[in-house]
Amino acid sequence: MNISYLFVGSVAVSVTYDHIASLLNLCMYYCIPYTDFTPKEDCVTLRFRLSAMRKLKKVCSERGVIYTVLDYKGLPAFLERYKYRWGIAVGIICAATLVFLSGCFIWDIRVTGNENITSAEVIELLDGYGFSVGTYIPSVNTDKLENKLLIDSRSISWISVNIVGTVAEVQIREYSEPKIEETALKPANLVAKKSGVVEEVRIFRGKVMVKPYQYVEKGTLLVSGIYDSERVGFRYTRASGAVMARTTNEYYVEIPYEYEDIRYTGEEYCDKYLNFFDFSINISKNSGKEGVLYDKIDIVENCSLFEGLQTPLETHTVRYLAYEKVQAIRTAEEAEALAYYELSELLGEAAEDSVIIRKTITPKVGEDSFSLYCVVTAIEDIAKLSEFEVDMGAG
Amino acid sequence: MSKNNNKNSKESRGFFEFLAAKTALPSDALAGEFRIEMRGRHTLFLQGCRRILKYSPEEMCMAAKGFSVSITGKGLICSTYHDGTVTVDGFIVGVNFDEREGADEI
Repeated sequence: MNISYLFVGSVAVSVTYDHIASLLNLCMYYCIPYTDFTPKEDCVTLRFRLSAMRKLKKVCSERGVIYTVLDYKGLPAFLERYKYRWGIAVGIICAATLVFLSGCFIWDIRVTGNENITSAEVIELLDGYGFSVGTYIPSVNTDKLENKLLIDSRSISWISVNIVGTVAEVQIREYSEPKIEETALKPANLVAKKSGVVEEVRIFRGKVMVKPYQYVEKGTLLVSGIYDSERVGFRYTRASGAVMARTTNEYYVEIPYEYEDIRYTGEEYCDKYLNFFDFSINISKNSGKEGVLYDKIDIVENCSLFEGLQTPLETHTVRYLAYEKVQAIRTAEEAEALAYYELSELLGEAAEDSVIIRKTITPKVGEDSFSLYCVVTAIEDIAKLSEFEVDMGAG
Repeated sequence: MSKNNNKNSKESRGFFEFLAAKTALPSDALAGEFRIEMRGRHTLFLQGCRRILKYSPEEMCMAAKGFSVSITGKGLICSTYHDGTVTVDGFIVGVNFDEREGADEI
């Protein structure tokens, strides 16, 4: 059937073989289109447009062509059938109106970027400026709202209100006052945190108490936070700076030949979850992994319809690979390689704050282990803050 | 005698048909002749149909200019009939031309 007939309405008629030729001639003569010409055993069925049927009815009665109406189809027939059921029409109109109007109001406010202020506080703050759930979207001037809120609020340093559909996405940055630590105001000395030979002194504040090439022990006063003056007496400050010294550090790494290793048993357990937004549903049976040592692998896959189009539906698979602990023995070569690796890791960490100028490594192959003894000479900052209390009343 | 003369006149070419042949113009355009077009054995177009004389799924007769065209076959249907053009679908077995009384009447 022609799809346009669904909208304009159609009527199916049946005509006997005696009258079909006359009916077709009338159709041609009066330009009445038809479709679905179907010959049956004793008649032929055709389908006409509802509007054309009115004309056909008139000319057929004039020429004595007999036909039988079989059915009415299409939108006009549907409306005709339900024309006395006003409730359906009213319901459809109300639903359409609600759908249209619902797009004009804020349905949800989502706040992001807040750490100390709660989302409820931000929403309440916005409510004070006439912006809340249910606000008429065309009446919202987001620029004005943002500016007003920034001027009046002390806790928010930046805000952006983006209306996406019927959801308002509010991004904020909280205002944080620069904090001055109380400890930064206390007077302090710089003392040596380890022994060494002073190479260079870089002082920003305080009185230098050591000289280059001077050997200092751990705990020696390097920079004093007290100024002694005959005119104004004692003054206190928080000494600051760096004292670079040549130090000697020792590192010791020991790798035993016998160690505890893990061996996978081949058993694997699996849990499957279905995530929808923040909701997660376990769709697998109990994996029965209780009391078993395992490594855990999480695999999250998004159920995207097309490439690049993400959906809120995800499958979350958790694989548990069971293992057991076993005693293992490594060779001397393996132990040596591991020892050098661990030593390099230690030296790498030490080199972050110092410059290594010499190192001496002494390997030792024992019966049960392989060990490395390393002596490193480096230049590093040995100054360490040492605060002290001042009794102001005594002065 | 008069009937034979009439028959002879229909079998012989008319002026416009003669002119169309001489000027290499299509006779359906110049002389108003009917035109039949077949696509395979399942679709037939007849242009210049004046009326449908008879219809059944086995035979369909149509009046054209001075003749009647009879199409025989199986499961014949008159898919469209508009502006003098008939589309006949179905398995076509034969096309015959008859001279019938009243074929020109509409």
